[in-house]
Amino acid sequence: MKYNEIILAVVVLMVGATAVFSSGICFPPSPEQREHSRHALLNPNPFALRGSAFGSLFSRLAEDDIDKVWHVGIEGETHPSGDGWVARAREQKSQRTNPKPLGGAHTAAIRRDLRQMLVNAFLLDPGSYTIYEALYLFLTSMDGADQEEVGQRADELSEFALLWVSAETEDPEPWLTAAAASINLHLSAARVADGSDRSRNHQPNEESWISKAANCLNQFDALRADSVSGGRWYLLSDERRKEINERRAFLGRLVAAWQAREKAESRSAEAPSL
Amino acid sequence: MNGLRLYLSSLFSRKVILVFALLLPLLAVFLPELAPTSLKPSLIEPARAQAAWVLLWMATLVWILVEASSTGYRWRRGGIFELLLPASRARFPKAALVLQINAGLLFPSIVLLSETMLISLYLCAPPDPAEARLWSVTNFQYGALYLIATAPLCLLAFSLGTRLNPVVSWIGVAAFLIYGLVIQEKFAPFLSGGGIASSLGNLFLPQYHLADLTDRLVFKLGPLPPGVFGQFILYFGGWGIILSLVALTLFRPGR
Repeated sequence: MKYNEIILAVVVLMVGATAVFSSGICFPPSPEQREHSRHALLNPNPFALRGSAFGSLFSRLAEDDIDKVWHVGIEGETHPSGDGWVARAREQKSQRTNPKPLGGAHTAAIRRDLRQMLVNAFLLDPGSYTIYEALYLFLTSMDGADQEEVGQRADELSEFALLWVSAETEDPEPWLTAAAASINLHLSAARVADGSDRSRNHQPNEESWISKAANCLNQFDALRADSVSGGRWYLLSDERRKEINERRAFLGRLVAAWQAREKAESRSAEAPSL
Repeated sequence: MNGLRLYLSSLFSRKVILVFALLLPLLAVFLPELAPTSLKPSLIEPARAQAAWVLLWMATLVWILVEASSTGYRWRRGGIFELLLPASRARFPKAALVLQINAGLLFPSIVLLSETMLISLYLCAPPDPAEARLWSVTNFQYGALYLIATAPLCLLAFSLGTRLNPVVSWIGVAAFLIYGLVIQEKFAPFLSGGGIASSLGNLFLPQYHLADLTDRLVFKLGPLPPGVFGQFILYFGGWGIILSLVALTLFRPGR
């Protein structure tokens, strides 16, 4: 290389380095630069997989794996996943024949993996009620690492799900997640109020979670009616429609029972003054 | 015969580009049908754009960079640079040759990028005209960032290919890109300290995830503000200059 070529190269290199420096993003972007939207909750999100249509596909595909890890890895048993030789063979293939149970550290590691799988699946599709319920159940029943924080974290999960679903105007299914999240927040608030959960201070919330859950179910009904009249509802398989309807009926019964109880309580509270 | 024409004629005679040019639009239209979108049809159009852009990044990773490093390797072993260099009348013959060949290497990127942008602009644009305008601005920003981020990587893969085994040089450059796109976020907590180590880390490690505007398309967030977009262009332009100079230094024409 000639002398003047080297000088040219050094000058160009300095221009490049100056560009990188002066653009000010050789340092990570500040959180304020990130948009304050519900999608920001899902960051980091390479290729926007989380929260997209492909996200719900992958979240559903993960359900089987999670189910298997939960049953085989933690409960140590398999559930038949259908009839026929292949289904039975698949069940037998992951049946435990070793009489000795897994060690404590091993079980703890599987629990951590399961938690990560559930969190990943939830972030891929925060509107999926199957994954939400599974993660909620996991957080409140199995994640025994730090009992103090368990209730807090489960509440955060429910609030995340509510926030995510609040903008949904097309798909009825996520509103079932929102209804379940409201019911869970109601139960959690009740546990704090009656003193069975002392990990948090009681935060009196103005709105009733039960009426919020009822509103979510109304939203579900309205969107389902829309999708029925648009014909989209019948694109789902029969089993899926049945499953969603059963879920809706179950949540409806829960909400109705809580509403009846609230009404009875308010009536008994009013009675002495009459 | 210059490097650009020689490269393009070799590209067309091998016809691999046809496979990618056909697969990309087919998969971009077909893959979203697999997603459970029957109750949320408004998600299917963003999913097409998402599929097209992700496939473009994948094609860059598994084909365009391979093409660049293997071209560098094969042409040096075949002695083609030794034929082309003496014929050059440029002031800096080596640099001119490398830039000519890399203009050729950009051709597949540009073909796939135009397909992606056509799919994104014509099959996925939101119906509302104001939103559609924001959508197309976002697409053009994304295209510009994609090109300015990946072109220097092709150059680097090509030059490394003239020094090393093509597989080794491809893995090196691909790892650099994958780090900047995906893995970087995992290291963010270590790099946000503000100490000397984290500053050096931020300076020497690339942030290619800034060129990934897929979330702005999928969630219809609208284009980047012009100032931020300019900053990003400056950032990748700076990286481009540095990587190109490294590549020119590494280029070895002789056998």
